[in-house]
Amino acid sequence: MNTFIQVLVNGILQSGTYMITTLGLALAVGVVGILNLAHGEFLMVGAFLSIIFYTVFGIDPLISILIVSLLILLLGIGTYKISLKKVLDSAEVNQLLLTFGISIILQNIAVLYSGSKEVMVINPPYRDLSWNIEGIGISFSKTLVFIIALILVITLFYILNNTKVGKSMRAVEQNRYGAYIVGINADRIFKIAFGVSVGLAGLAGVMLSIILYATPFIGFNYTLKAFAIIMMAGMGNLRGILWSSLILGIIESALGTYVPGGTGWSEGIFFFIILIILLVKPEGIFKK
Amino acid sequence: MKKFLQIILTIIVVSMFVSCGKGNKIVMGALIPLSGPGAAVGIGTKEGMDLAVEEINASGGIYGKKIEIIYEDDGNNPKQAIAKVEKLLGKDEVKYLIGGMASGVTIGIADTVKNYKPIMAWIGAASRFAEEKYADADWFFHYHPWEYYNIQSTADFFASTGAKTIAILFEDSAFGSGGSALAIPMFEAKGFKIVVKESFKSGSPNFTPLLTKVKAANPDILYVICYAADVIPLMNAVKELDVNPKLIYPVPPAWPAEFASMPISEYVAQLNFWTPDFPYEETKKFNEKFQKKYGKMPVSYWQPLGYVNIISLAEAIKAVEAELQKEAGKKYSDEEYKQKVIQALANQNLDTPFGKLTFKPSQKIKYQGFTNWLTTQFRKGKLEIVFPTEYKTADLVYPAPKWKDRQN
Repeated sequence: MNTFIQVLVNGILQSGTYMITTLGLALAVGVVGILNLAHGEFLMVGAFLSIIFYTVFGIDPLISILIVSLLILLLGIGTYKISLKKVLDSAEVNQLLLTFGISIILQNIAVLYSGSKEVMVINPPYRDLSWNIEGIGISFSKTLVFIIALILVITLFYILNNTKVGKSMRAVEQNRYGAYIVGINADRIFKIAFGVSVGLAGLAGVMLSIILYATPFIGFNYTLKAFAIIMMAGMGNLRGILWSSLILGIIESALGTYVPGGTGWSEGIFFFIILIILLVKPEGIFKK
Repeated sequence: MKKFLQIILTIIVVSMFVSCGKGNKIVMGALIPLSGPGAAVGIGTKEGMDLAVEEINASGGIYGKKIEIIYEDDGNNPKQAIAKVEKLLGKDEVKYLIGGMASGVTIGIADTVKNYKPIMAWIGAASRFAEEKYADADWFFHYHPWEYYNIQSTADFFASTGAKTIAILFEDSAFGSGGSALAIPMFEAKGFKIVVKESFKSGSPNFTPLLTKVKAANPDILYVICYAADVIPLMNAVKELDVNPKLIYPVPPAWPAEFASMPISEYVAQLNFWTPDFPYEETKKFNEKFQKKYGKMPVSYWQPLGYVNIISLAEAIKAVEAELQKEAGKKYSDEEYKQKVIQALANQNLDTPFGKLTFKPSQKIKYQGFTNWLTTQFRKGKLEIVFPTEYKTADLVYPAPKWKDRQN
């Protein structure tokens, strides 16, 4: 019984990591329709900045999280103004190529910075804190990631449905020119949405620096998984992100524990589910 | 016509200078990963090589000849490596091919290298399949131990602890799968029972499912074939789930520099090719020189290995040059010179940061350098040698205290 409860706890906590790393991309892809293949690399930059703030200035990640998110948000706005804005009206493949190029540039800057260090790690005092309740291990930092992810999902959901800027984002995604006609500055909305999207990636990067580490190549896997979760949730469905992350986290945990060789399978199952959803219910399995 | 003659004359003069330059330097071609996932190892190796070159050239080179290295980035990719090695041996005409890291690259370039037969002083590759590829190459000098040396050493150490059961987790690329395929029969032959054997994808952020399984099996030893990036998430999850094997034994090729200072590292044991705490005079000298040049301590064995690569080859060349210096006017043909350098390397007995370097036959090749592995254990941020007994700097703590009994 203990093992079963541990499997559930592992899956739920893992879903927090998936939620927090997907949320930014869900905003860019699902809400305003920007295909950002560099999402994972903005996340990686966030993790690197968190480590730099901690090692150089001694600022704890839980304090630097706001500064880093803001810096990455500004980086996102800069990236939008310099490059992305120019390809928004052309074929979507141009967005993919451009953001893929940006991801390569960011990766190589990180390689230059990290030099001979294969992994960058920080060790804040709460990093390996954990509770043991009746034989069930619960990590403090992963719990923190889960709670922050949950707060962010709820906040973003509220903003998109109840504020002017949120409604404008949804309007721009539904019909850019229609939105323009009713007085919405689409360019400004895209700029804000992309900035916030990569700012959220930066925030996720800070949290990853606490529970994992940073390497120049850490982002790519998160971009892939984030796309998969968004497909499962349905485009623009933030509540769906929550449920998809939970389901995938628990499936991954159960497979890894109960099935021989299951960890290898869990990655395959992850993308198999996405394939089935794309074939059977391409709009996603959760209601908006 | 006058202008044409001027151009021809300029070309002749320039080429004379270039050829004079070539004669006055010893050019080596280094093939290492400087980009992509292996970049950290490649950059570390380069730091060691640059330190050696600077040291040799600052002391006047080898009888006045400066050493120059042409670095080529193999990107940890065999296809890219073949093109780069063709450039080094064909276009740049280097006579000494040095460096190396991944077994896959070493296997991939074998056919190309065999066309040129340079002196290959190779510090990378541990796979027995790479060894097979160079079995007939009497110009191939291999510094890094082959994988069977490390598995044998690990099995001997495990047997010395009195452990009975082992859980094996291995990353699913050639490194981890190949290592586990070799390790499992060797461990079983020593009488160990393998209670868990599971693969994982390196860089996987989530070790909790696997460790939940390990906890249920309650092994004496948790043996993990992984990369540096896996070590800290693995150990965080071990502590989080309160998994308490008597010994945790990860074997990454390099460790995250920060790991030693983290409380989770305490009592973790591992197979080690090198540590900055090795009790050799050359280790201390290397640490000092490295610290002086780079303002930091070496973080993996690749830095001293890159250094030894150059020093060892330079010593062999120096021995041949010394013979030429003895008799004025004496000359060797290119082939004679190459054979003399091979002979000097084969007879080498060099003090290095790893201990004595000599070349002896391994299972398949003629010239194998290092074969020794030590087991070390993290103790208060320092690596203590705990096995074999002749090198011991501290007693092994076995079984390691349970997490709940530790202060941190």
